This record gives sequence, structure tokens and C-alpha cells, in this order.
Amino acid sequence: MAHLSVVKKLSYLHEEQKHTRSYLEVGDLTLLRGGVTEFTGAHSAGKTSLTLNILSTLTQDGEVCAVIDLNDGFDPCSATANGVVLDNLLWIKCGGKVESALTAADYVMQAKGFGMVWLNVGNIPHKELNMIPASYWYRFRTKLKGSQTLLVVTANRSLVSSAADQSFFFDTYKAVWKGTGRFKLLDELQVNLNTRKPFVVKPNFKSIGARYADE
Amino acid sequence: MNKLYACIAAAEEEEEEQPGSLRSDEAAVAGLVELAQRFSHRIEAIVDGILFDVSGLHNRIGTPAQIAGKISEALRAKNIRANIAVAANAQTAILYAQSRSGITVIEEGIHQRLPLETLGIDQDTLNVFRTLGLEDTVDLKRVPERELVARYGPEFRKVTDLINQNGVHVLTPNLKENHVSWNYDLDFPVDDFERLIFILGHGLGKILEETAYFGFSSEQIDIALKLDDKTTAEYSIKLSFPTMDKAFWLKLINLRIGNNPPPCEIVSINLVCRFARQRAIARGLFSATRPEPESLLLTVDKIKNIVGAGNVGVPVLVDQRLPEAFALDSEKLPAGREQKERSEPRPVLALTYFHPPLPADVSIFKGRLMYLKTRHFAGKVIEYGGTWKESSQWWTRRLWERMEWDVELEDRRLYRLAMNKSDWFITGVYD
Repeated sequence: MAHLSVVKKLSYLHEEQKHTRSYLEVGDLTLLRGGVTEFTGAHSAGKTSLTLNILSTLTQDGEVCAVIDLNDGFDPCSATANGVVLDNLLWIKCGGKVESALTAADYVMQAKGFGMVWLNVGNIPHKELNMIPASYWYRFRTKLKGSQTLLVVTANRSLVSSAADQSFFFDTYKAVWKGTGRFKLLDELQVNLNTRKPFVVKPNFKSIGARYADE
Repeated sequence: MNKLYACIAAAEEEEEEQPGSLRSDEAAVAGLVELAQRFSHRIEAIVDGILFDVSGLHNRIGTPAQIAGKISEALRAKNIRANIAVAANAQTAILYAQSRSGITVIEEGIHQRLPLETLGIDQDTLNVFRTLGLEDTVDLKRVPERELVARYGPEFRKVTDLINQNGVHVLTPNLKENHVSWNYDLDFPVDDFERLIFILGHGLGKILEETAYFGFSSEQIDIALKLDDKTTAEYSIKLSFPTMDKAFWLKLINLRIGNNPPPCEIVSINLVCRFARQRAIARGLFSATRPEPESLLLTVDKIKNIVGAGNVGVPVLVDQRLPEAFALDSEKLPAGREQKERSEPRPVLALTYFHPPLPADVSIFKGRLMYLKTRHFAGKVIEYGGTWKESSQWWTRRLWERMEWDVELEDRRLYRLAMNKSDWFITGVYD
């Protein structure tokens, strides 16, 4: 009768989730569709570049994605350099208003059918971000459950906490320059990608190349 | 009387073509359609004329003769010369309008004389009839139908049916309409548009129903609100896809008018629904999911209400050497098109702008950038690349006046530093 236990084992639940939910594979990164993924890290940690890389995979497949740009910092030129198809992208500029950004995210998730929603809350004072109730993130997670939409939240520090299905922390390793003397160009940025949820001890090393407009 | 049809056909040809002739005057033909629309919405254009359904007009106008009289009056007012026939059978109405001049009203069961040539009988048979002394339909009607069919075959039954007002022509509306409209005059002026939603919903239902009747869909609805100050507030809602979803149209109209409400009280509503071909949905089994167009448009409109109309749209690049060479096209919606040529998946270093740019203090020693300080961060510059010159707009005075550098601070952060005249700013961060 032991196998008839009401409470399922954690390992069993993990195995069950693995087979019932769909995943998106971008490079060596596996992201959960229908869930909240959080990318955190300080300035120049590479979180924007990697998010654009994910966006490029989806928009090239013809999926419609949304960028909720809290601080109007989104650069479409960088997006194009990463291979993002701008025609498949909905750009929402929120002018620094946290409430507008969260409401817009809510509407976008309600619309259903978006491949990815990128909520960029970087470069906003911590005081304002602290005012976002944690219940918002759970609400988003519930809304996304069962859908094909991937919600990526990028921030300088962790906001989504336990509501995130996956959480990654970016850490700058070093910037590599090419050229000599006064004639130098940024060549690449090397970063460490630490997986916090599910926890992985060994960080994933990533190299992000720089590309200039005239190249 | 159950059914009643009116037919207007071109009058007998005259030696000289005169204005108002349906055979030569295009304006007269267009006028005829307009005239028929005043009596009916079921209209069929036939050769040199028009057939329309006037059933039910006995309640408004009166007997078939009075209806024919009204049509004649309208024709005279438009200066169109044509024959009119009103009959309970569509083919009978066509036959008499094409064969008799002036007004002909065919009462049910009462036969009116017509020459045999008008019935479409072949020449040999006509010659036989003449030899037998049969000159018109009244003479032919005296011959037993069974004998005529036995002698000339079952095809001749069509002729006998025509004489007996049993023609099989079915009125088929064939006018190429491109819109339908609905008008409603309010009993008293209303200042809040939202109070009119129920009335608007009713009108919208009607015009969409009519549009569906014509076999079309719609991607444009024009709304004209007559106002108390004798002006008209006009709104035109155009979509990039045709839809017949009433709830969607209603929400969209409410959102659009809510964004830009009329300046004073509304006294009348006019809706015009433009026809478009129905949407063909042919998505592949493995094609990517994307939001339904209706849902996407409504979502965008809702978000525009929050963040402003100019802040939601599709990013577009500007082919100029500007500091921020891109724009936001707020009129466009994401297309969801698959890319045939795929680019490399390797990530490229991206820039994130600071809005507004952060003012910075920069220390320079022997022409080298040494130290950078802003309100939020500070540090020693350990590496930098540049200078890049920006702003190539020769038609403005700000020609190449902005210079930019990529700088790396001691804490391994990469920023874009800009100098405009003598002011330093951090415009963005590489992330």
C-alpha cells in the first residue's frame, strides 16, 4: 500500500513537470515556456545581450514577442545586431512608470499567443522596485501556466524571488579589447552565467562578441 | 399579396440618343441604382435595367399601381426615361418592362396582351403561329398548354409558364456594393459617448449582418457623430485584417473614441461599414503561435491608453548616422512573419540607453580619459575606444558635434560616454 501515498515524491513531481511542460533551447540554455525566468546582474553582466539572443531565436521563427521597456532603454540597433526580427516585436515604452509596465505586462499576457515577453526593469532605483508587491509575480506565473509564453524579467537584483520558475545570475568576468595604443575597439565581453534556480554549482562561461555598425 | 417585384427597363431606342437614356447615359444608370435603393435593398441589375423587390411596400405606399406611380415620379425627378412594370412574378415584371412602354401593373391572374416576339420563341415556330392566326399572348393562351408542349417539346413549357406568370427567374442581388450604413438620431443630446454603447452595439450588429448578407467582411468602419454645435466628429477605424467580430469592433470603437472624445454633445450617430474580402486563414500545422489579430489590436489599444499612443508599436531603424538611429512606428503591429534566412545564434554585445543621459564629470590627463564620475557610479577608466562622431544631419546646425567613446571602468563595467560641445554624459551601458 506504500505506493498509494497521497503525497507525491519531489523527484516524481520534477520528472512529471519535465514531460508535461515545453522548453525552449537557445544555445546551451534551456528555458521553460509558460513560466517566469529571471535574469539578474549588475551593469555589463550580459543579461540584455543574452535576452536579445533568445528574442532573435523566437522572432526568426515567426513568433510575436513583446518588450516592456520600463526605462525606455531598449536599443533596436543592438537587437538587429543580435538577429532580432523587429517586425515581429512589440515595443512598449513605459517612461519609467513601474505601474504602467506591470499593467502592460498583464495585458500582454492576457492577449495570449506571445512567444516571449521581456520585462526590463533594469536601471530603476531600488526604492521604486521594492514597492512592487510579490503577489504580482505570482499572478504572472499563474497567468502563464499552460501557455507557450516565456516571461523574462531582467533586473539589477532579484525581484521575482520564489515566483520564478528559473533564475539566472550574470557576473562579468572580463572585457576583451583589440587594437593597440589609442586605437582600440571592444572585442568581447566574457561573463559567467550562474544558475540559481534550479541550483547548479558550476557557472556557465559565456562570451559575447562586440559588433560595430560599420563592420 | 406576398411577393411583388418592380422592373425598370430602358425605353424604346430613339434615333438620336438623348440624356436620361439607360442605354447611353452612365449617370442615368447610376441614378437608377440609387433610386432602386430607396425602395428596396434587394436589387438585381439586368440588361438595360434593374429588378428589385418591392414586397411589403403596400403598407407604406399602397397598391401596386401606387407603387409604380411612386417609382415613375422618382424617375421623372431624376430625368430618367424608362419603362416600369410591377408584377408578383420577377420574370413577368422583366418581360413587361422590356416589352411595353410606360407603366405596366400586372395584377395576379389577369393577363395583359403582348406580342409573341417578346417571348423568345424561335422564328420558325413564330411563322407557324402566324399562319395559324395567333398574333399575341392572348391568342396563344387559348390553345391548350398540353397540346403546345406535346407539339413543340417540354422546352416550350417555359414560354407557357411565362404567359401564365409562372416564370422561374429568382431575384439575385448582384450589385457591387462597397459599404452599408446605419444612422440613428437621438431624442436628446448625449454628452457621454459611453452611454451610447448599447445603441451603437445595435447599429453595429445591423451593419455587420448586412455585410455578411453580401458575403463580405470588413476592415474599416467609419463613425460620424453629429454634434450639438452643428459640427461632426468623424472617426475612421482601419484594421490590417478583416473581421466580423461585433464585440471586438465595439470595444475598439469605445477605446478609440474614448481616447479622443467628441468636444460636445452628440445628437446623431452614423456608421458606415466598408466591405472587404473575408479573411482566409491558412496556418501551417507547425507554424509558430501568435496572438489573434483582434486580441493583439485590442491589447495594443489598451496599453496605448496607459502609456500614450506614441509609446507602443514596432521598432524601426533609421538609415542615418544619429546617436539613436531608430524610431517607434506606433501605427504598425507585429507581423509574426517567419524569417527564411536565419542568422548566427551567437550573442552580440547590446547597449541599453539611459533616459535621460547621466551627466558625468570626466578627468583627462595628457589627452587620455582617466576618471569618470556620475551621480550613481564613479571609477577609474582602465580602457577606452573611440572617438566616434555622430549626427550627420547636414541640414541642421548640429553637424558632427557629438563625440562618443566606449569606456571600461575599473569595476569591469562598460559604458558609452558622449561629449556634446563641452558637456559629458553617460548615454548607455553595454550589457
